[in-house]
Amino acid sequence: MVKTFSSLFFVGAPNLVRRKIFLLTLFVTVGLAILAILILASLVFGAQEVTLGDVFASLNRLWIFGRPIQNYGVTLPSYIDWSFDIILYHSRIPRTFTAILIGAGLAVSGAIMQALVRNPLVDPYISGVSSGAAFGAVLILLTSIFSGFLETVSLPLAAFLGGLGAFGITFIIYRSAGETPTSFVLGGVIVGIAFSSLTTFFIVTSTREIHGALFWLFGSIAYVTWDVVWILLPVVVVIVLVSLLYAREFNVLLLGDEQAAQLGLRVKWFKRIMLIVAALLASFCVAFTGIIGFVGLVVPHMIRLALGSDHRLLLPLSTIFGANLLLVADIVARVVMRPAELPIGIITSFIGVPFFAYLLIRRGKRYAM
Amino acid sequence: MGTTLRSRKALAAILIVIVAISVTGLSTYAVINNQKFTQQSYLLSLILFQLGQPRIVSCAPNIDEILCGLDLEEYIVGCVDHDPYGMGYLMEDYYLPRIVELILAGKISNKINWWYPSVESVVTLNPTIVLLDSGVPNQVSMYSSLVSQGIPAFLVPQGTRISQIEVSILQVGSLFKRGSLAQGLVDKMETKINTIQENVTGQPVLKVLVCVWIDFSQNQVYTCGNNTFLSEIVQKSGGLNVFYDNLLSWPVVTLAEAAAKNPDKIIILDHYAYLNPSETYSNIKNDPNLGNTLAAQNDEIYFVQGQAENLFSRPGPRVAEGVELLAKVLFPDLFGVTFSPPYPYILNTGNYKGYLDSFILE
Amino acid sequence: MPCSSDVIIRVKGLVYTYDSVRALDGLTFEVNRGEFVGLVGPNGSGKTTLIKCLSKLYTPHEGSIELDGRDLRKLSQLEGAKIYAVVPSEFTMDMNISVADTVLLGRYPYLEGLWWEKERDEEIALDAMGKLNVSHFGNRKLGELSSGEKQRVLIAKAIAQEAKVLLIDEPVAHLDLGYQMEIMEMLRSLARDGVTIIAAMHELNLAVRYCDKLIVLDKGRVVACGKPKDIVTQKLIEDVYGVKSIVHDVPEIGLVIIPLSGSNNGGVFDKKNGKKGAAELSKTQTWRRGVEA
Repeated sequence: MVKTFSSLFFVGAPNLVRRKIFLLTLFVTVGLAILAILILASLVFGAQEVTLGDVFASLNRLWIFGRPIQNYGVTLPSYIDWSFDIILYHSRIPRTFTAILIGAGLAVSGAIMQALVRNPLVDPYISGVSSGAAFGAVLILLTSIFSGFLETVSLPLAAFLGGLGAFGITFIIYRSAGETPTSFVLGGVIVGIAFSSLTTFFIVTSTREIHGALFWLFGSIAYVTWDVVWILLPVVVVIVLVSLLYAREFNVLLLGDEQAAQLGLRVKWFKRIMLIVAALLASFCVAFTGIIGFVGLVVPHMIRLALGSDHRLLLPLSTIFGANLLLVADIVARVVMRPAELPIGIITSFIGVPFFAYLLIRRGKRYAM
Repeated sequence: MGTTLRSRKALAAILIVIVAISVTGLSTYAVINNQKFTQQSYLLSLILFQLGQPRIVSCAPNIDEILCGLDLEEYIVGCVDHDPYGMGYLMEDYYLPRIVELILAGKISNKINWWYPSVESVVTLNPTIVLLDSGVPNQVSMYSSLVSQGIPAFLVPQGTRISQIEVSILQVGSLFKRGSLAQGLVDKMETKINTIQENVTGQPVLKVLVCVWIDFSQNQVYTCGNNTFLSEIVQKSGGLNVFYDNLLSWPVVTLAEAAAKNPDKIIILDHYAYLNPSETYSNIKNDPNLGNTLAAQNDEIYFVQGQAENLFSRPGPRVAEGVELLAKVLFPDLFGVTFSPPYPYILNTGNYKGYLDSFILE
Repeated sequence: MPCSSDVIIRVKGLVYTYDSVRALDGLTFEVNRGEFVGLVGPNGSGKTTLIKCLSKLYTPHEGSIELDGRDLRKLSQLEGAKIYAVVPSEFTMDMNISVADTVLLGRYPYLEGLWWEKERDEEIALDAMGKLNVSHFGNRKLGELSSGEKQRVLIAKAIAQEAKVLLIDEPVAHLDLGYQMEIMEMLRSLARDGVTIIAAMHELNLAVRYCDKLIVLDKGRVVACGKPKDIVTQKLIEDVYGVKSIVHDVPEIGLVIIPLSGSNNGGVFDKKNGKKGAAELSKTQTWRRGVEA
């Protein structure tokens, strides 16, 4: 039945491939459908309770006027009170898009890392990016003058550079230690510990109260603005596209470095470039929203368990389902204890930890480095 | 066949470059556009705010108090939730009486979470100005979201010193064009503190152990160190914070370390944990280390709760009252006050006012 | 005498050094199209190093390699992948890939189009799987197979690569007796079809029996090169492996090498009797039965 269905669409494609194309189309469709539902849910649920009708009316007005109408503190009677438009436009819509972009970005970055390090139990922060970002952020909080807006612009930049810097050091260790997967992971661990210690040292001995910096690292999409969306958009889109382009090469890499080289892949260069690409993506995400764990680890792995390691399926589906997962987590984060905003990292941990433990118990034996 | 591979990559690379340039261009245009709109909207909001009736949202209890001191409490429309997780905290212990009145009258909505504030909960209140606490990282993040929406926001600096608290008061005052009122408030604070300091000069310096939290099962005492206004309060009231020279702002020490300082007085600040005073008292007396301190031997253990505790934990105008209260605790004979058993001596919402000669906020 | 246009691999003066040890010390040999070459020698003789040099994994420090008339150094990795394919001795691949996917990956050097393989690619892959008799577990994961089955899958992949030269490191190391023979026979028939095969192996008996040509390495040098019948002698084996042996040409089967233990056994295998004693012994039936048993 599968064959006849797909043969309607894919004339000329061979059997093995036809099956894959079918699976890809099927799951992409399912994923996008779920995404559509979640986007709607993300617009409807939040600290303020509204109905679906309200949301559509609001969207309609936004579409007509292009921007929400500011109240400027004037209280209007309820039948022309359009204050929800402001919340929808400035809060919920950017959050939705950010969750989609970050979820997709982290999942793809995790998938790439897992392919390069030859171990499904690594996440995008394995190269020490998270600790480096924290260090960069704390440095800025320590040294910057106390002007609120400047701080919020330089903070992501510092975090981004910190994350990239940590990756750079890990990369150097990796190159010097023979460019093996183990050397990369160990390098990342060392660098991570080093930066964490430095960060803690600075926090503890600073005269300014920046213990709160540690909480930044818990990850939050609660305060994103449209600017964040616009900045993330090109980076995530391009990097995801690049990785999709080389999906076949990732497949070849599954055979091992030597075999891949003998099949014609320039392994060393490919790995180096893709490591940088994945680190860029992870650094970018951390810089704007803090450390959100488990998405990069869990999503690619779930897809791999379900559909195998073919990156032509893994990468596109990681993108979509990563976005879905983070959207769910964001909705939960703002609804569970409303109007308090739980850090999204806690929600993803709640989902990720039991899943991770399950994976480790059931399949951990299989994964030797 | 090699050329097809290469040309595929070339084609894809070109596509990616096109996508990258166009998306980046689009994004840059959008960001710039956004910035322009934000600036316009923000300026407009500020103008309207200066002209009209402010609708103030205050995101920290010390900010509420500063606003009360500037006679602005009528304009507050939103403040922090005193009991966000349903633990049964009392409003009287948390807010000033005037604020409680306004909340109960429905004029102030107290639903904002101090540590995890939600942008929506602030924006729903339709504010013309939002005052944020810089000590809360999420509020610092919220600052940028609010500003980019065109809602005026102000980050009240963290009060790590009494002088900084005074600066914050002056800044908020100038924001609302009540500079003279602010100055008056600061002067009141200074007068009270100076009076106390004059009164206690010449007195022997008493060693004070301040417990922000005490956990006997974990063998931990959280106290205040170097760069805190709490330590400064102790110093200005004529006492010596036994951990004044600790580099950490909020060091955690063991019971033994605390006891080794041999404090003359032990102050326990119960910050909404609703600890049991007599239990804490007997735990201290029975502890092998703490029980041998001068403070324990003389039953000089003070348990501070509710509004009395707020004097020591809120960087606001009432820190001056905190100085006075602590001075009375340290030198009761000098000031003619008495503390009577049962032990420990309890200072709470009900009785703390009896120990103060005057109040900063009426 | 094969004429020179049949030569597909030409190695001259190949030198490769590891930490000042010369793993390959001036190798020179030629391999003709369609030859099934057995690369033998004791451990450390340089067999694996040679395979890696031939597959561009290692760059030799001196000397030249010509594959199909082209200088190996000048070939790009992709072009090389279409000329030679390597079957490794160890399994470093992800164990989660399916067998069919593994074999399909052999088509990587030839793939056109943006993402998916074409019908022809799949046909070739399925064909290769059929040849190696692994079609029936096309959908199973590599991790579920025995090492022998894995070996066959990797050989199928190399075939799917449509390479002119197959470089195999230990083709029968993980296989049981039946499969050993089957693989060697299959490789021999592949060679008849025109694929040149160089197999580095430890199993001397299989090599001398099935290979068209033997290259014997010792300490990085070619000690002997040629047809097994011509070059394998007791003396060679003793020089290279340090083992006394009997080398016997069994009719209809080929050469058989029987390694003997050290110098302790007296009697027939005594040093004094040497070759003569052993040859006499080989003629007796009882002794032969002993071999067969």
